Amino acid sequence: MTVADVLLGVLLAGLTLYTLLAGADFGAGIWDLFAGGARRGAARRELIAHSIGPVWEANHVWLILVITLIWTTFPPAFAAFASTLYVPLTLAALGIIGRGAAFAFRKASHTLAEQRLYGATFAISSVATPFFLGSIVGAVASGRVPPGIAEGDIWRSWLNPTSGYAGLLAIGVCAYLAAVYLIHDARRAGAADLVAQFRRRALITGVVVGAGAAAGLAVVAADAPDLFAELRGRALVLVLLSFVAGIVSLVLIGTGRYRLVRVTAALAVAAVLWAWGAAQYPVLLPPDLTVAEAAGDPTVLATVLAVLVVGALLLTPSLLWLFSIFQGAKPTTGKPPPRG
Amino acid sequence: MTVVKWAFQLMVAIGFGLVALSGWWALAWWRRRGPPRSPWFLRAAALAGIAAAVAVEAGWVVTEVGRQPWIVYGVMRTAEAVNPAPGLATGLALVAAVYAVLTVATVAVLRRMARHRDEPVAPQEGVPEPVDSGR
Repeated sequence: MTVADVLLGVLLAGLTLYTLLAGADFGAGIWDLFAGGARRGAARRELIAHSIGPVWEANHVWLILVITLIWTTFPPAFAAFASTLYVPLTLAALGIIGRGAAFAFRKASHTLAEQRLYGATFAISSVATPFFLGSIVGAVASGRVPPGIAEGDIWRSWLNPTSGYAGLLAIGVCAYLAAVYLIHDARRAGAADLVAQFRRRALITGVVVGAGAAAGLAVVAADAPDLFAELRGRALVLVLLSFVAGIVSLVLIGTGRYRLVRVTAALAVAAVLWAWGAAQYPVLLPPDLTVAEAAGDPTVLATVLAVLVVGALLLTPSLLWLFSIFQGAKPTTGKPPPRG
Repeated sequence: MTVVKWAFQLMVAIGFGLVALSGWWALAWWRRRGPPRSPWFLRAAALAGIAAAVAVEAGWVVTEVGRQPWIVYGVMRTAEAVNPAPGLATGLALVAAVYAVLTVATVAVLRRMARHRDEPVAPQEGVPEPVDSGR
């Protein structure tokens, strides 16, 4: 295993963490959109805002890590990726910016009209951004981002059947993860009615997204036969892992194991990403740009790896502390905490 | 290049101005344990926030304009580095428009927060400090 392979592993790990953590944030925004009218959905929105609030936008560190890492360690792949896919990348960035800003502005708004405006911006960008990010994955996976600067079609590279499948799957996965995580959050907040609501949402999205993911493979088979062949080949173990973890998650939700299901639901989602990675390896950009060819100078790779290790020593305890503080704190639903 | 020269001088001038402002405060504190009494100090302090941002922007102008026509000094020209894909100008206009809207919204929100001071804006600031209790 080369240094480039190790860095690719870090890249996939970062992408996995981004999907699991920021994905849930996006998903919470999706549930905000479907929470119902201003009055009826108030309690749901409160729980959602409280669950996202503590780690507000901190989860985007993983996207920054992933982008910076491709940029520094696989420059030719990044150049092709960024130049061909600049449209969905820009749209995703605008979605992330608009989402974060609207979420904060909504908190500071007094009138219902303003809260609706910012709330709608928050919720719509929560749906649109995962779609763009998913369609980017679909573009790479289906071999529509050829090596070279802007060699791919700036529209058809990410507006195609595989990208559509991946984009919709991303939205579904975000909604699913958020619903699963929110069950436990609602239980800790002592809101039995919200537990029941998110439990139902988690079960429904689990079934719908799982079935959609499986059925959509037909799209991949027709649109990207090379990718499909590998998914049926060496990546099959991971595809099956995702399937089994998804089924187990449904059972765990059914039997009320709301903490444990966070792990299995995350595994069901992560295994999809890993299956994509396994299906493509060692090709970074299909059809033929491999990890070894795209890797930068060995000195750069070794330095990046060393910096990552040092950075992880600092960042990991900080993040764990952040999560433990807010997961340990007793959330309050309804009224903000007393001031004085 | 004149732009670079003026941007650099502006940055340095603001920098020294801010140092002088801190010095003014330190002098007053050293003499009589209190902030400067002159209203001009408060006026200058109010401007200092904007001035600091202007200094940062001027610094960017120095590095970015000063590096031209290179994107990587001595290695690659900006013209060679630019993405040849079509429609980049539209993308730039879109980004500019979004940021213009965000700027207006930010100013509006900040102005309102200045009027009602106990509004938490970032969720992690959900429990505001009791700003002026016990004075």
